[in-house]
Amino acid sequence: MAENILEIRNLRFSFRTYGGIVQSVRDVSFEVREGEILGIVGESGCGKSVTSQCILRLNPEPPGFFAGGSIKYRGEEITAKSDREMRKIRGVEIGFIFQDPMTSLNPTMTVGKQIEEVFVGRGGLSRREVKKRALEILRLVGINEPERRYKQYPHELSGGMKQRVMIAIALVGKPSIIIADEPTTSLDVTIEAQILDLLKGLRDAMGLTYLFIAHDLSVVKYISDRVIVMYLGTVVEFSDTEELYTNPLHPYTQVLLSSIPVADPRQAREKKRIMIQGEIPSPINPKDCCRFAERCPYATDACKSSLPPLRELKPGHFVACHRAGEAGI
Amino acid sequence: MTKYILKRIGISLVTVFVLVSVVFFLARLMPGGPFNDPKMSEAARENLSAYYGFDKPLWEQYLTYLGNLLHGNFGFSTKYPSRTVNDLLAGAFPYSADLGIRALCFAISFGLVFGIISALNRGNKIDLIFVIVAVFGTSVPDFIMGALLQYFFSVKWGLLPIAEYKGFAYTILPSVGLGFYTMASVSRIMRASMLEVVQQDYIKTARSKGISRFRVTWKHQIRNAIMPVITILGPTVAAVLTGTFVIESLFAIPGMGKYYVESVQNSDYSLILGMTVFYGTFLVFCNMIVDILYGIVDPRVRIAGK
Repeated sequence: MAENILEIRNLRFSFRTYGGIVQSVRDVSFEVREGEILGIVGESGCGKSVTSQCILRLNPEPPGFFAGGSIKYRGEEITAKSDREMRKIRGVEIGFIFQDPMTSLNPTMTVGKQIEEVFVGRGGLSRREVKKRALEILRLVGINEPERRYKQYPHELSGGMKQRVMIAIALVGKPSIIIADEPTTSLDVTIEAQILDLLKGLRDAMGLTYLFIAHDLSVVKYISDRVIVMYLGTVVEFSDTEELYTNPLHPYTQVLLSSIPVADPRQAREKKRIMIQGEIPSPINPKDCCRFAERCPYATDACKSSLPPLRELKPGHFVACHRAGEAGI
Repeated sequence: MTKYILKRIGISLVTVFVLVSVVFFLARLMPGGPFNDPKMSEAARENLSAYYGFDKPLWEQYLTYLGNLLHGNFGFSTKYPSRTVNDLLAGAFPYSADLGIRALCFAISFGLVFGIISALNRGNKIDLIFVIVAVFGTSVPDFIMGALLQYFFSVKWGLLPIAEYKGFAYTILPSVGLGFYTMASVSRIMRASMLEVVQQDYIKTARSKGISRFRVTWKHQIRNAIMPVITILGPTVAAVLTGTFVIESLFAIPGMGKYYVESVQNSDYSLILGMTVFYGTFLVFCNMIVDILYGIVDPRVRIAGK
């Protein structure tokens, strides 16, 4: 089995707000194996972005703070590092691709400068070598005429091209892990497919490991080797992609999967959809119980009084549900 | 870019022309006239009117004025006989401009620095102090600000000369007095803009690259935060450089400020027009410079202007 390159144990990350303390990430544990694509899915506000940004310490601290747990990158504890120490990891050990390429590039700086900036203050490379690397990486992410694009500003590029530039920024420092936070959400479907294929191809070519965050279940199914399902700051299910999509154990995962639209109208009519009631509960001062209990069709009293631990129901298939595995669920 | 600038100059000329026309007729609509002294005989009044050409039909006066203006001639002042408006402006403008440039240098440099420090220390005591200074600066009127400066720095502590304009030490108090409001507003706008930019996604991108905090602030945050400050600079530069009545009177500086008030009080038609045209042209010019500056700071504007 491949080595664990990133280990997250019982991570808790909260934000101080005027309304109280928001526990955005609550007891999240998972590990990323070298060379795999690990997907994280969940709806807006479930803590997937905050979790991923914890790894590079990009969340604003304050108001955010670590409330417990550990993040280990190749055995090194990240939560204890200073900003200066984090700079040795950001960009060169772990790269980050952001959600919205329209707003994630600095409008007043040329594309080339933004890519080259990864090398600023690191020493070792001459100006010419840095430029060569930038042009190389632009070519690698599939940008035509890199010399021309190098001198252009972000507004002169299309959306898909901007996302390619974002990928170039994440890759240019030759990191071993790439965290991609919904990299295709703001792109249209054809561009989305191109970018996903590009990311997959780069993984094979460069031996990368991905942490891939998305709210689109089909995208995650397409790209990931293993998948984590998050709900309101907790991991509810964690398994191989194939297993998770064919045999979901957590009621929330089942609900999510049943909501994927099917193109064929005949199949769509036959498909069973599970509807759930209510809304996502407030993340401020949550009760110590299963977070899905209020909306779960199978909830019992036990679900409303104690937090279900993540247990390995089948080899490699973890689920945080008191009743998972029972007949009919 | 050249085409854009030429277009801007064309629009500016039209603006100035409309300004001249409107002010020309508005000034004539004011009650009274330039020769209102009750001790003056009727014959003398008619003589003077004829001398200045005020007895001719209005449209003829208007066309004559426009013709003279094209030659850069603002005409004679009625209040200061034998002196042309050009003379008056040429004598007073250097003082106003000198004071204005000093005030602007003070206001922009301190305003930006205060705004940036304030934003970087958001929520703590340093921020609080700068915010208080900024609110004080934008809410205290200049005659009180000038008087306060004079009272403390000249009368009480005897550090700086109280009035007149005869050397560097003399320029400090009026420059600060004149620039304080601008300094305070620049600082407020810069602070707000910095805090807005820091939440932008590209700041997070910059941080994810592992560059220093200083570089993130300097290259990504400040560069993008400075736009709104440039916006207010156009009108501010024009207003500060062309003199202000209050500060110049307080510090006994022979600048242009007093003419704004005097010319209207005396119905000194040529001087009113001269001041308006001068100020208006200056304002239009400054705004044009700002538009061009935008293009330099923000590449997106450059493309739109092509």
